[in-house]
Amino acid sequence: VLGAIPSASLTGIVGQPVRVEVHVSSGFPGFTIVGLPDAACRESRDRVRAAFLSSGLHWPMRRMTINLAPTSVKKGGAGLDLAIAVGLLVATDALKPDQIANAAFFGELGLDGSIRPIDGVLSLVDAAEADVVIVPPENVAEAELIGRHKVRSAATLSDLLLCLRGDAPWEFPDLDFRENTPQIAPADFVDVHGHEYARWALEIAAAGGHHCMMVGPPGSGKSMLARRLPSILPSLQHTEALETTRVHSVAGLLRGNERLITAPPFRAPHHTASAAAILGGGSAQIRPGDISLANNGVLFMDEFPEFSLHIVEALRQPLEDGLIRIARAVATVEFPARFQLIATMNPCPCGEGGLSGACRCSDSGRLRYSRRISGPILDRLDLRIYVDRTDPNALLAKPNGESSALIRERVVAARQVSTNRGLRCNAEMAGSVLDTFAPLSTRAKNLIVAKLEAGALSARGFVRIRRVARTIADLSGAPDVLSDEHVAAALSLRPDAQALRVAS
Amino acid sequence: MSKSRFVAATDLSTRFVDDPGLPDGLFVRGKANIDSYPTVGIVGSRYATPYGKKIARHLGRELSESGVIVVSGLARGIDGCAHEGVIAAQSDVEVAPPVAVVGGGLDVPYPKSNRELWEKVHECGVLISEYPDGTESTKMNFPKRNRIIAALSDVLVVIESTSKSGTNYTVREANKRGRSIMALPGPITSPQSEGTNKLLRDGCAPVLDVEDVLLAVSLERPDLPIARYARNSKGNADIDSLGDELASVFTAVDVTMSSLSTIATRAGINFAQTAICLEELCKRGYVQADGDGWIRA
Repeated sequence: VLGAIPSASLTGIVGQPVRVEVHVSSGFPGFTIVGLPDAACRESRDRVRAAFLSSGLHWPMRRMTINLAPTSVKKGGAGLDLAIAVGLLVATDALKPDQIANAAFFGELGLDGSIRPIDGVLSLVDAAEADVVIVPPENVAEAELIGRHKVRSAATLSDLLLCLRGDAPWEFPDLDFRENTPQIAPADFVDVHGHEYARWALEIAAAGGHHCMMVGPPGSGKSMLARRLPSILPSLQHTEALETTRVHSVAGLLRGNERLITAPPFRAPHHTASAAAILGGGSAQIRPGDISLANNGVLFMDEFPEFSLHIVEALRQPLEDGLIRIARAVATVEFPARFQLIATMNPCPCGEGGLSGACRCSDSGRLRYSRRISGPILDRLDLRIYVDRTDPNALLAKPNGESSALIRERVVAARQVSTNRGLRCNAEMAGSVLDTFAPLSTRAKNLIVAKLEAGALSARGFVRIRRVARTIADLSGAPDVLSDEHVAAALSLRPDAQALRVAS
Repeated sequence: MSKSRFVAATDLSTRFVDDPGLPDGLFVRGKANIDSYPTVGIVGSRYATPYGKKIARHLGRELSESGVIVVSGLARGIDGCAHEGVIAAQSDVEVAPPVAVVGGGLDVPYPKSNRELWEKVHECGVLISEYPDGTESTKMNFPKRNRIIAALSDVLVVIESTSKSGTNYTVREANKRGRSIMALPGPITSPQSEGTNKLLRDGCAPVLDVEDVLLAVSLERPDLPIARYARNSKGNADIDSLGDELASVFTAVDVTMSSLSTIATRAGINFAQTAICLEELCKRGYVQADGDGWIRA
């Protein structure tokens, strides 16, 4: 007797359709799973058997073979449990084939017969070759996001059997909360004392999607400011939200009927984190790292020079292409990784360098510190924001800055201008369209020519200055031509400034 | 690299005659007729501010062009900058040669970043040390080196010194020998000017201009003529000719490094406007950008 149940397994964040074929025949009683299952998948055997017995179902004393087709793809995790169980039910005539026609099954089984939530439902359901999908109750809201399937759910294996047979009605879980409204209000700029300059610069960074480096002595508020950046970023577009939710789902970060992620994510990996944690990887199953979890959001790398150099160098591809390709023996997967990088560093190892002049670092110490920052990566950062210590008076006074909501309105308006140009944000403006979208006034041109002639600006810097100036102009509601004021402001957020000066 | 010669101290300069506590002989590389010029020692902190470095270069250049030998220790910070100024002046035949007294062997440049300067001083002037070739410079040697600088200088100018700086040792040694000491005033909030400001409070003459130093030198050594008086003084910026906005931004730029945000706050205008004023001031040579901040040029 043969049953074939559609399901899917994950490769990276992409679902691969899998057909679970069940063959039950006479012979020595046994249960084998073939078709490249990983350890968790092979253990299905014991979970399914226990679930059958706990649910009061008959466990056939016959020879049973499960084949996971296509057999060339490695299958991981416990998400195929339910499909295997249903396949066995069909093969043993507990269910008729027409009762499960056109249905795909996803879920992990508990020994008591309960159906447990799994990771990556969004991608799995997307890959399902069926009209109806049956998922664990906790994953219903997520499965609904695809919108192509009828989503059904049951809490236990015996409930599921009743529903499939038509002996009980499907219960529709409460689908009220479809959007992910953050439980804790994000940090707001309204609480920030002083820091007018950094606010101004971060508004530009948010409006243009520019990667930036914040430099300043310890305790000056770099991290505090960076954590507030998401509060002024525009919400995700629907496709962006789906993509981000998909990654979070695969990483197992969407639990308990969570919904679409619409707020830009903020990830802050610690500098001791491993390459696999930051970039993605793993041996048995390739999982997305922080850079992919920050997709369409902010990747915050505090104490940038402390990150190991090979991790920082590996950021080049994502910064360039918006994705990361991870090759392992098992498979090669691509994860989206289009993030806005916010890095921070001290002016020197002791942190007192920069403008205060109280630095006591040795030349060699400073040199070592500066060598830890990769030139090519630095090259990709559009803004360099110097964060001064706050004036004591401002620190004692009541904060009097604008709220994030106000700033966000301007940011959204500026982003709209670049959307009208057909760009996601100004930071992605190609050099070839600069003359169309960011033409320079005569005075602005003179200013830039003087800088280029003095050798204070490189060709690459020239492109970046124009992008940033475009954003500044967009924010101030200025028409097409960039004035000298916009360019001077962009120059002041000097991306080409020497990272560190070695005292002579 | 030529080997250093060992000469009697008194052959090098008559200023060493009867000096208490000096070695009889010194190692020398290069040559200079020290006794035919008046000498000024320019000393200061190794951790110098941009202000101190700028003045050290300025004085080094102007003094050298006026035919006054600049004696210094070729260390990091003020010392090196003073000699940079002297080297920059070395185009003319009339200028005075550089004289450097160092704390290690004459074939071991220290700090390494000063190697080029070291060679240039050797080319145009003279390097002096009490240590034989091959000796590494150590911090312990610097106070001893300082007494030779003090003995060799008719006037000692302290540019910047912290309260605990090794420069204070040079000042004591110069005092012991009755040399005249001058100090550059600095902000009372700057740790690098603490030592110099104390000297000023205790009655030492202030250096407001290269002419002040030249006057002190001519009083000290009337026997040695000064080739020419410096043409120009401090080169203070002409604030009045700037417009209102530029003037307010220029006033907000400090002699120590300030960030754009500080300058904008002081000037009371927005960041973009401040940025363009700074660019304009930069172009006209009033201010200069350095790393993350701006400073008066």
